[in-house]
Amino acid sequence: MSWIEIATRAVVWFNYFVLVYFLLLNTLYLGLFVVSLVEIVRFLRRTFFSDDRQIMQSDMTWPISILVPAHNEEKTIAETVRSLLMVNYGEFEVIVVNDGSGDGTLARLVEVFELRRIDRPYKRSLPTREVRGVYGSLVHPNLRVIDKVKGGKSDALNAGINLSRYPLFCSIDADSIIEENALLRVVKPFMERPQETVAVGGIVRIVNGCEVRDGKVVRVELPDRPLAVFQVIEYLRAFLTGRVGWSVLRSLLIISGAFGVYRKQDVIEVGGYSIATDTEDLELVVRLHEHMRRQRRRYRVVFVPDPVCWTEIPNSVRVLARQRNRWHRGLVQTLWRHRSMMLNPRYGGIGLFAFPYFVCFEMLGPFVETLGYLVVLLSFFLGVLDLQFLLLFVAAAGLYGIFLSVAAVLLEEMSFRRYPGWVDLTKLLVFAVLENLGYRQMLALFKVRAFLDVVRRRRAWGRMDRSGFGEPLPASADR
Amino acid sequence: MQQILLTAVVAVGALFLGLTVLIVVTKAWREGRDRWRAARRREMEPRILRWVHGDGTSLQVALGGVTRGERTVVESVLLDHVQRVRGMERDRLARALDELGCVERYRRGLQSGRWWTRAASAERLGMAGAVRAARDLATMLEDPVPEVRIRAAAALGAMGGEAAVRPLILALDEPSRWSTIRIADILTGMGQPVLEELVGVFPRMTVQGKLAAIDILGRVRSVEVVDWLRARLLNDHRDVRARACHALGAIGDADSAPAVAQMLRDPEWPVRAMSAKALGRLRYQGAIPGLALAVRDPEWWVRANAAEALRRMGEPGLAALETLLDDPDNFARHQAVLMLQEAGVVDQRIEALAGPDGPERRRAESMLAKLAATGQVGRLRELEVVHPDPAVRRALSLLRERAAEPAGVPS
Repeated sequence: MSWIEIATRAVVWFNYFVLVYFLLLNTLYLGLFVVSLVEIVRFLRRTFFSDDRQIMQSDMTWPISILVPAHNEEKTIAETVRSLLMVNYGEFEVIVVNDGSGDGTLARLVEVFELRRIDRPYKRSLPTREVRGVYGSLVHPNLRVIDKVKGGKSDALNAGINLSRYPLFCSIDADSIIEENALLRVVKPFMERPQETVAVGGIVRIVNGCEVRDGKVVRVELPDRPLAVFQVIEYLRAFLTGRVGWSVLRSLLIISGAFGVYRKQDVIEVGGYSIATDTEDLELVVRLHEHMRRQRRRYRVVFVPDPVCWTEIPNSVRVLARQRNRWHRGLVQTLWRHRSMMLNPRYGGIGLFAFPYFVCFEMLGPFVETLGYLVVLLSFFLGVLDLQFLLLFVAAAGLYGIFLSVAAVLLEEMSFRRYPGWVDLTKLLVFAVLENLGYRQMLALFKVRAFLDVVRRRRAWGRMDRSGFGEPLPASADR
Repeated sequence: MQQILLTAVVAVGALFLGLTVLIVVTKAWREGRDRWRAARRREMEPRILRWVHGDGTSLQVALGGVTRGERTVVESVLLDHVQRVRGMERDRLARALDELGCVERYRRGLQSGRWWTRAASAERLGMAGAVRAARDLATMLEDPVPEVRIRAAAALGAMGGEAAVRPLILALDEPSRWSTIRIADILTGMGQPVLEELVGVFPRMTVQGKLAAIDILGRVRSVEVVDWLRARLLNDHRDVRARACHALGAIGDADSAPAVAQMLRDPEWPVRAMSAKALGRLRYQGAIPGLALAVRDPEWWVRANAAEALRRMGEPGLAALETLLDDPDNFARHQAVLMLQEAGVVDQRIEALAGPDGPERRRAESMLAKLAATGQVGRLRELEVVHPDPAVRRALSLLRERAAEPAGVPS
């Protein structure tokens, strides 16, 4: 058999593999969408009766510590902290951890919130890099700022956990703003089942394009830049169809680091955030699952689609590439680190379903996709390209991708309707189509590169260029 | 194979188009309806309110008849306002809801197979103050869905229906803390009438129910239950004793303070912690020596609450905290430093270093010397660099040197 025949046969078999892979993946996506649809309808019925005031006023509501790790966040930190101090909640404290910033993050906090150095003793439940000082404010007694040597986001969060007083803690990114009632809603699962709930995540939405005043999002609008609109669609799909569905299946592996609430005792029990991976949020949730299952404890990790956290996203391809590279590296590192869970019945649905899904489709999916494009080229050169088949396959895959994006828009329209204008809706629908013509392929390439970076043991957090909430970004700033 | 793919393309394409049309049509319909309702509301609301403040008998007559579409608008106006007013106006709004047939519709809604319809109907009956539906609402207290039970109980509570009190109290035993919070809120809102029933049912409740009951008594703030709460300080269960301390602190009855202060010697730390917290709320100065001892407690929460309580006591408490600066117990010293810093006392004393030589300055030097000796010198170090007065900076530097602070002690 000649090498051309071998290659031809390999190409044919790869085509079959891709077809099966495609069918399996999209069936799963469709299943998740249906589960999410049902859950969101149920959720809306449950939350038709708002009882936020009661949670806020009750002495029985657990107090909460809000942890904000900050590294070079001079532009946004004051707005973020101001919005946090205004949240509706009974008893809470805000702990900002200045993780060795090289800019004026600490000075800005000291100036705006009239901070002064205090000597606060605390128990070091989790090891961290050296803490240089703790600051308090006489004006805001529930605000604390930790100034520490740079150790990364995980290290900063661990320092915040050490200093926190309360049984629940909420991690929030310094470039994010949470809505006034978001905390009340995100702690509700802890109130409903206090013994079982270990972590709860809320939905993260994109603040680019919105108007922010005094630490509050006062007008919601889609961003102007196409790259940002693509990410809006992506976030809607990931949160409304992905996380809602996984949460119902009790297999949620990720709670966004931008906004999640955890029971402190459980996090300390598993050793806090790990500094060994690039996505501390994913790794922590997977470790909590692993720990709880090993202990045979009844527990749940929940996603609630209503409490909203607004966050800034990359406006340029360069920054987006860095961000996605880190996310995918973190995914690969976490899955590798906890590989013993894969197909292990001891871990129930997580081991038998969620973990294989993440390995086969989230981790390896970009490889299959990129390889597919290469095989098309190879088939062409080998003369075995069935053009009609290819066009039909591309059409089916593209339409299916579009269908899933439009389905996410539908979920948004029937539930929370944060983008109320007709222009925004039209934009969402148009970009749901356009997303499949380049953007998705670009992300696949970023992820393949991230995988190779893991293999080559390259690690970098990747700088995120902030524009700040109040100031419009100059058009040429990050092109 | 290609035929299958072609079918898939057509099917997915049709789904995509269907979804898009569905989104657009639903949005257009919803927005059109909302606009129409808003316009009708703008026009009808002033006429409805004129009727409420007038003496006409029928709202329908006053409005010149109400079409089926307008009924929803009128109902929403009535429901919005009925929650905000009292007395005659409320009665007239409730009567108008009845006249429009809403009350009967809500009563029928209680029989619905959909739990959310039953819950909404119960809630609206409560808003409408439909006393004749009280019996229907009482039967809803047996509904299998907790949300419906809670809405029905809240409606009965809003009507002042005593029938709701006992089932609500028993429902405090439900394992969901969320349910407990809401039921406690309803019972607290009912005020005085629930106290006797609560105290009567107490011995038969689970521990969680008991804790919620004590919290309600604390929130109602009735002095009538003070003696009963004091007796709970002797309860076998530590959480009951702790919550009783908390409730007595919330009520603010000064006569209870000595009994609460006794609890600083309880063998269980949650009781000691709550006792300290309550004493801070009561500002009972007789407890200062006990609180000063509690700042040395082996448990962090007791130390923190006791130090905080001393801070809340004002001058005498702050003076006690100052004496703790050279306490042999390391933790007590640290808590004292923190509280004195948070109360602004440390900064006051530092400012006094700039003043003329005299008792005030000597007092400041003495206190700051003790503080420097604790090793908790973060604030001193900071001001040693940034204080605008060079004399103060020098004085602080001298104080630290005298305290012979070992290098690199973490704060």
